[in-house]
Amino acid sequence: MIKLENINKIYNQSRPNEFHALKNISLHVSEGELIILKGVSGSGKSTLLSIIGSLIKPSSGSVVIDNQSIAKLPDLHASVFRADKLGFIFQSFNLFEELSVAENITTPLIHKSITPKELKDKTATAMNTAQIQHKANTQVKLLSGGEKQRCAIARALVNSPKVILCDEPTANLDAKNSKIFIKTIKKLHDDGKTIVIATHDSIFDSIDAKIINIQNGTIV
Amino acid sequence: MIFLSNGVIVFLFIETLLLILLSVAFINVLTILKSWNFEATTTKQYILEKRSYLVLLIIFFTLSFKIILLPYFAYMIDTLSDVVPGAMCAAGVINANKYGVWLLWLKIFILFLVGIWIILNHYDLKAENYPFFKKKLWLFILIFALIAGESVLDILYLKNISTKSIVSCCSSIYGASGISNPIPFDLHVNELLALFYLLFTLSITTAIYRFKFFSLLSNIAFLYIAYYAVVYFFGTYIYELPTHLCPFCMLQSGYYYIGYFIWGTLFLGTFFGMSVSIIEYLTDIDLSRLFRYSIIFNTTFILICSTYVLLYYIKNGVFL
Amino acid sequence: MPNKLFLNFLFLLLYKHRVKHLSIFFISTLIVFILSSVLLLSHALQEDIKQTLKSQPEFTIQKMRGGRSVDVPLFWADGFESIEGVVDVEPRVYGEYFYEPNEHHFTIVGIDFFELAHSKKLKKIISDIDIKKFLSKPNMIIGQGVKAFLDRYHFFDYYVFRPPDRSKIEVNIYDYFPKESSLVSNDMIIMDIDLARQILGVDEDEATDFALYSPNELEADNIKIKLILQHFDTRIIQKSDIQKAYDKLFNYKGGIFLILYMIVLLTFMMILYQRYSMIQSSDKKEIGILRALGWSIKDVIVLKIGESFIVAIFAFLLGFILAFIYVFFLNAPLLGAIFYGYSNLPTDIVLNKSVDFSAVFLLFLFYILPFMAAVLIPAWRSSVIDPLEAMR
Repeated sequence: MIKLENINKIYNQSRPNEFHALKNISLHVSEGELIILKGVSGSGKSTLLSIIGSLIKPSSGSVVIDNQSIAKLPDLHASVFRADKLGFIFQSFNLFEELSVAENITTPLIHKSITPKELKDKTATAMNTAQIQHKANTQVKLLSGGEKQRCAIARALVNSPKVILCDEPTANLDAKNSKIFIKTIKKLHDDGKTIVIATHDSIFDSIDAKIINIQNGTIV
Repeated sequence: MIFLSNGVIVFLFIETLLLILLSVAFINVLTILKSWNFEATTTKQYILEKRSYLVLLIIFFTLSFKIILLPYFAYMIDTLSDVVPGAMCAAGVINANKYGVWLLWLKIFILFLVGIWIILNHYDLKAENYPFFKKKLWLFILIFALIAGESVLDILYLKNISTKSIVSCCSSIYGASGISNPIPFDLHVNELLALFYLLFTLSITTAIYRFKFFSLLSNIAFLYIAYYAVVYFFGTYIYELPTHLCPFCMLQSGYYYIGYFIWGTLFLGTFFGMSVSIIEYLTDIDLSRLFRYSIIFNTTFILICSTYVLLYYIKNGVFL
Repeated sequence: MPNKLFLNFLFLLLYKHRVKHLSIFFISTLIVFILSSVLLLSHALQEDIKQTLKSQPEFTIQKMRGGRSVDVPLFWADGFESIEGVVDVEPRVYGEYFYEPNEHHFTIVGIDFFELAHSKKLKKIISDIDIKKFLSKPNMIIGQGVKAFLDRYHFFDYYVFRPPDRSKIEVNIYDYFPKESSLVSNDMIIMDIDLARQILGVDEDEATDFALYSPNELEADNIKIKLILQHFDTRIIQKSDIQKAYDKLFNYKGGIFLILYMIVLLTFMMILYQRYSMIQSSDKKEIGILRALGWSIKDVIVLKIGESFIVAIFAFLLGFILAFIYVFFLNAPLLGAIFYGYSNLPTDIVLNKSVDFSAVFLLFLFYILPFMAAVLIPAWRSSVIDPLEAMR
């Protein structure tokens, strides 16, 4: 499913503040697998996650996801790839605070050609899975942390992605909500989604997953 | 006298703005062309890729306005006939000095290239590795050079329109001036018409059977002959006056602005007929489906023209 | 590409960020308002003059002596009538009558009420008049400007003229011109042609000038040549010359305004550029999220430009509607004075509601293009920011 070969990422290339964020990383994730990237902040795990998510491009190496090479994909195609295959869950939820839950969940779909009915159906399904349907018309800024996280999950699921990428998903959650989150992840894992989680939270140790430790831009 | 009317002032202002925007794009295109290497994974290449979006945005924006501005130019010239003594329609104003006709042809040619650029851009963005990126930028540089030339001509032309000296009106420009026959190859009007319908059939046939190169040739010939056929035959039915020969009067409100449709469909029809083989030459993409548009527009053009003749015949029982 | 859902989202975002766009919206509205007021007003005035000119004679012929115009002998008319294409020759008597206490004057127009074939406007005005009654004693019809002026001096029913022979002629005020025709008839007085001769001091066998009517405009140039050949001491004024002179004047006034306005627009572009170049961190975050959710750079550019475009369109509509109200319902206070220029008697005009759609299109281009051109680069700049950085 996800195939990384000799990934290097260098920030500020050939400048005094050059920074080698990832060094020769190779990683294979098969379909349906659950991967946890562990490492302290600054270790390069977020960069790696972003490369998988085609948000940034590697300085060298190849990235193949679902048989599609994305390392050099022009933005126009990379964005289609993101919209079709990926779901993102972020550390700080990254929701539109002013919009309602339902409006937030539809955002990944609206620039595509899709009928209003399809949109409605997909949004409803995603809200059901994440158990946030009862707050559909509430503004996000009025939600609690746990509800926000569920809204973010629903948004990540709305395009029925094959791969779900989570960046420090529990950093802003209390213990109780973290547990609910892990339960949801387990369920998605059971549904056959490929999931990659970048975290330093030890709560994920309880999960049955392949754990990859990253230190200073290399896998150890 | 360059500021002949409010229309001219606005026109020049807009042209200047567009030229400034295009210059910004042009400078960016030069830097991009200098170090573009799609295979490279350097930060520089990624910056260039981002910059290319700005270039495409500006080009797309300005060229779209260029498309609106050509009919507007025709309209503006037409309204100027109130200010220029002797002119009854745009024909007199265009021929007010030696630059006018060249300027008009240049504008049409630029629009043709703009059309090709837009199609090229479309297919370049559709592919995953910018296959025609450099070609389309070089084409842009050509267009930019022509537009810069166009701006110079714009100013030369408008500056040299005199509101004092009298210009000829259309009937003396296009009308039979003495012995020489204005129709090419010394054709009679009947022969011109026969050739016109023949070339139309040829262009449709080449489009249906997708003979790309022949379509290019037949559409060039069709464009050339159609121009004369409209001026020397169909126009007289639009004006319902056998001596009124003019490609411009039909742009006026008195004829329900039909001229814009006639010249517009002719331009689009022949554009699609010609561009397929030109773009294929540039890109190796099979664009035969564009022939569809050539057929649609050319047929619409010929229907509009023929309808005028038919209606006249039905109303009056005779031909002119 | 921008489908219904997209537009929906666009409006949603616009509404949420309405405060951000408010200042730009107001400035744009003001700019459109001023610009369209000027264009609407100048077009309405031009139309008014065009309507008046329509009923004017094809030629006006004056007799010249030493570069000044003098009264024409009536027997010239026979010569003019013999020219082919001329359907009617009308001797006219008119002139300026100066009101002594003040430096104002009225324009007196004498009319032969039994030969009134041409001026539709005049015809309409006097169609309600009982001509017999009107001619039974000295009567006149006066313009609104004259009325206001005479009211001030308490001449409500009549006025006493003092012709050059120092006699006194008392003329009754019979009726007034309607307000709609004020631009032309504001300082005008209409009376019988013989009465006008007396007041203006024109000889009985003379007239101020001749008006020649010809139905076919295309014949005009031929007629003109024949007129020139008949007398060498004439000045021939053609209708189309008057029309062109008016057009030039209005184009000139409008043109100066437009050129000044370009400077305003350029300043406006800079303000726009500055305003939209300031990308707040919250905006950045928004764009970053959208990009991560599968929006391309192109989508974000369309969103950003769409935002500006909608602001621009609404400002345009509002500005234009306000201008329409200002010009046609409020009669353009302040601005009108620029166009009417100095007038002999204060004018009170009701403009006909006529809108030139090509001018509206022109106006739209003139405003929308600088607006959009100024936001292109800021829109691009905010769309290509690194999504990862933006979300931090």
